[in-house]
Amino acid sequence: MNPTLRIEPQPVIMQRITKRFGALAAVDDVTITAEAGQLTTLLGPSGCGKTTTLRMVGGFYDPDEGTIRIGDRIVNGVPPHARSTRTVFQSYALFPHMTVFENVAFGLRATGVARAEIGPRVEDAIALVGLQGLAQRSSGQLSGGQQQRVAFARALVTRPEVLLLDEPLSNLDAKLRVHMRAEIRKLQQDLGITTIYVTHDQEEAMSLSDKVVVMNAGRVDQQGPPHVIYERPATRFVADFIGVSNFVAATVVALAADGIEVDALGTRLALTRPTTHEVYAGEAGLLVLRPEHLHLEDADATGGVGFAGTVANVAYLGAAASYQVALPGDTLLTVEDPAPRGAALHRPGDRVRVRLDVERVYVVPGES
Amino acid sequence: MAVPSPRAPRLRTRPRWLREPVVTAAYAAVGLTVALLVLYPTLTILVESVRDGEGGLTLARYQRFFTSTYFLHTLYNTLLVSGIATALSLVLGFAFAYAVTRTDLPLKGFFTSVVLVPMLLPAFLIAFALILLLGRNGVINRFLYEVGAWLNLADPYALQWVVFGSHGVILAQTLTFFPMAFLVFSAALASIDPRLEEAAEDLGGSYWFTLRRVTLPLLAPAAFSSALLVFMFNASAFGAPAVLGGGRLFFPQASMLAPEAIIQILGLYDWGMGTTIAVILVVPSLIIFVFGEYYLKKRSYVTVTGTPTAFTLRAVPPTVKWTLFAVCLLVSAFIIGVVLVVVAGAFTRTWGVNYELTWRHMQTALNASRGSITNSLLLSGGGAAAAAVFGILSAYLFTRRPFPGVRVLDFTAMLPYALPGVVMGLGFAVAFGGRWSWIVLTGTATIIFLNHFIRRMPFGIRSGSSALKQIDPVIEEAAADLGARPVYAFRRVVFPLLRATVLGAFVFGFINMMTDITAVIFLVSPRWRLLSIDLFNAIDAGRLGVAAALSVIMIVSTFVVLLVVWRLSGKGLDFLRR
Ligand SMILES: Nc1ncnc2c1ncn2[C@@H]1O[C@H](COP(=O)(O)OP(=O)(O)O)[C@@H](O)[C@H]1O
Ligand SMILES: [Mg+2]
Repeated sequence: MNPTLRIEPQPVIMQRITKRFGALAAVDDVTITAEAGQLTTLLGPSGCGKTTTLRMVGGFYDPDEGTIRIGDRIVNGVPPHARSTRTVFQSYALFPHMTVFENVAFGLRATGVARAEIGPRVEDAIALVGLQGLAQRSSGQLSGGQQQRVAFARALVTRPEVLLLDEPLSNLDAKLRVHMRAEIRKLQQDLGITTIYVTHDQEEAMSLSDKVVVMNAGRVDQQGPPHVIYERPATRFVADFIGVSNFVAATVVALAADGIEVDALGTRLALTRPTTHEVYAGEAGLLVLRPEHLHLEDADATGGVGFAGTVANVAYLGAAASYQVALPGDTLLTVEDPAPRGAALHRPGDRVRVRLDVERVYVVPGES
Repeated sequence: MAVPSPRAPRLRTRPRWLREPVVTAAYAAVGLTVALLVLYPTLTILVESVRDGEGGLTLARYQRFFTSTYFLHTLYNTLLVSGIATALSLVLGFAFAYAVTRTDLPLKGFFTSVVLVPMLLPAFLIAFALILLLGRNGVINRFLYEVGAWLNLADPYALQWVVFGSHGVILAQTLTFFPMAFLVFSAALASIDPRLEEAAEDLGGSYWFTLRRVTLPLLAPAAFSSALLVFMFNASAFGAPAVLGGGRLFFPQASMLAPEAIIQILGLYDWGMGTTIAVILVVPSLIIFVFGEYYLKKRSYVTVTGTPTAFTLRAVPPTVKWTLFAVCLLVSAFIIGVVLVVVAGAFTRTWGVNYELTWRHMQTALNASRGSITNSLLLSGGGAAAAAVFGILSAYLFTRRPFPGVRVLDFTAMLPYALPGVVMGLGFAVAFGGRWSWIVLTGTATIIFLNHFIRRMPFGIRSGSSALKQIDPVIEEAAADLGARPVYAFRRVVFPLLRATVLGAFVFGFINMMTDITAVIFLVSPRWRLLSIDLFNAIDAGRLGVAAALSVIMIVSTFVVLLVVWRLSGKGLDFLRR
């Protein structure tokens, strides 16, 4: 790695921060840690407070309550220009009256870096994002993807401790998005820079992140590595937002040493390590059933645990088939058949049995 | 479930005004400027108008104004002349705007340029040119006299149409102010989606039906706001009434409000009555201004979208088209005639009598007014530069670093736009003239400079805030994010993006100051004379040749400045349309 771009990573620790706009708490008592050198994603639907959180880290808003630390320094009240964070804005925000070179050099000039140092560092940064030869272009003559690279070079050239990205891929077309995703990840890992990445695209979050923070209406529902978020969602919201989920109402019947017993649709299920929150006998919960953990069988099949139902709808997708199965009590389950064979497809009206991978079934708190 | 714990404590950070000392200092500077140069002079006028000789307060002067036939006639003259001139300006402005935005008339580009010329000329210069054309010795009237004599009429003067009187004032003011209506209408017409009109015709509406039921109603807010604006300028006009009005208005014994205020002060030394008239002049302007700022803006149908709609010109009935063409051609010819006749007058021995070519007037003008010319250029240039920079800085503060109560400051800073020149000039004369023995600036260049500056600052604020709307605030956040302190970010990012706007505000301010008389007439002194006042005095004294020479000097120097700025901005004169 080129020495002019080496970065000393620092963790970002947000402790119980709140930001209000009038009566609305856009960010509501939130605690998030972005580990040093890792990529942390803020994920959630539009309006859940991701941008507001990011802007507090960047210094564009001050939290009404709580503290933000970068490394061991509390940065509340520190203006953006005095912070070691750099943002890549959603609209890129390139300076329209400057060339690529001048855009990238801006942060160095603004902070009084020695003249002789500026040229080589800018060249390095431009090369890092693969824009060699475009240094003298005016920023208005660039494509969307090129503009974004300039925005990255401009942020990275100043060796920030923390890189902040607000939906950086949302203005690109779908193909370029997948490509840039991989590039961003590689860049981040090569530089080892602490990065906070905002997105509403769960696939993007899952594929990029060391840690995913799922936000919901100004609060954090869960934070952890992608596989934990997917396999052990803490709330119905998380399970629903990430991937496709079926929910089945259940009641906790008994606690056992290695799990719990629940009653769902009149069937008793013994689940092992099924939940992250404490449960009590008699409590209501929701079973989270991922389509890939459900298997369609003939109605008279036995073995394992399953529910009897009727096929309501079939969608043949080539590589897979997706079934809607109606269970007693108005419950519809989406079931995936990963290797469908045309002739053997079930048809609407067929009576079937849905078998569960009991060891993958997870319980989240029911609606109370 | 965990019991919700108490909220995290609020971390004490320093208040904003301490964290941003530059912003705080800038606000202090703007606040002080506005208080000293806007509020203080305005209040002194108000107080002066109700102060009696013994240190008490009295409304006697207002009572006198509203009971005396003379003063009431002054008011009626003002209302009648302004009302008619406003109506005519609206019609002409609409005709030009409709012709250039909605028809395929020949010479459209020419019309669009010519219509802007009156905005570059002093109001009284048009009045003066009318004298050269239509005065007793004016070229047109001389010609009409010859025709009358040739026809052996009993009265060879019968065919003449002498411009002195209400009709002359109305003509001069219409020509002076209709470009404002044109600008408002053409902006409004350009932003009405032509598809609306197409839809109306598609639904079976005839041309006239569509015009009456779709186009005109959509233009109503624009018409209303330009009517208010034009009326405001008409009602406080001084030049044309002073040059063409004397003793020949609707109510012939009386003058109009602005010239009357000047007569009271400079002729009769009656400060009390002068300030009273000034206050009376302020009231309608202020009402119109407040109404326009806070009511009309919210109601406008015209929405500015980033992408201009492409026009497909609609078929306009030939009668309409060629009528519009005739009107535009006539008015444009007249405007060009105004400029040509002034140039001709400058090089003609005795206008109307002896058309020999001469340099005499030019020499006299240059000799007698050399100092005035330099003063005007320096003070207008300096004042305009200060007004443009300071105004745009203020616009930046108001829109990007607002604080509670910023609207009040904004409103006060915009006031000089609404306050008639007479009021601002008189206010300065009273406030800084020793009568209030506080800061005495009478007879200095400073008082002229400050007056220029504060009267043109609203241009800077207006154009600055509309230009800032085009600049995404995230650009500045990006600068701060990259480590630029606020002042550095402003200097390197915001200001370069506002360059054309600064130049535009400068040019507008400069032209306005070069040509202003109503305010500075109270502020000039033997040591600090100005070109515009010399010109006005020459017209007043009937020295038409010298006046024409001075006008040419004024037009040429304005033109040179325009040209220089044009080259600097590299953008053409588009900024004039803002
Ligand atoms: N400057 C602001 N003023 C008022 N409300 C705001 C402001 N910024 C954001 N909000 C509100 O706060 C909430 C969270 O916004 P944001 O952080 O932008 O969401 P996200 O980035 O997750 O889409 C939204 O309801 C939004 O309308
Ligand atoms: Mg957002």
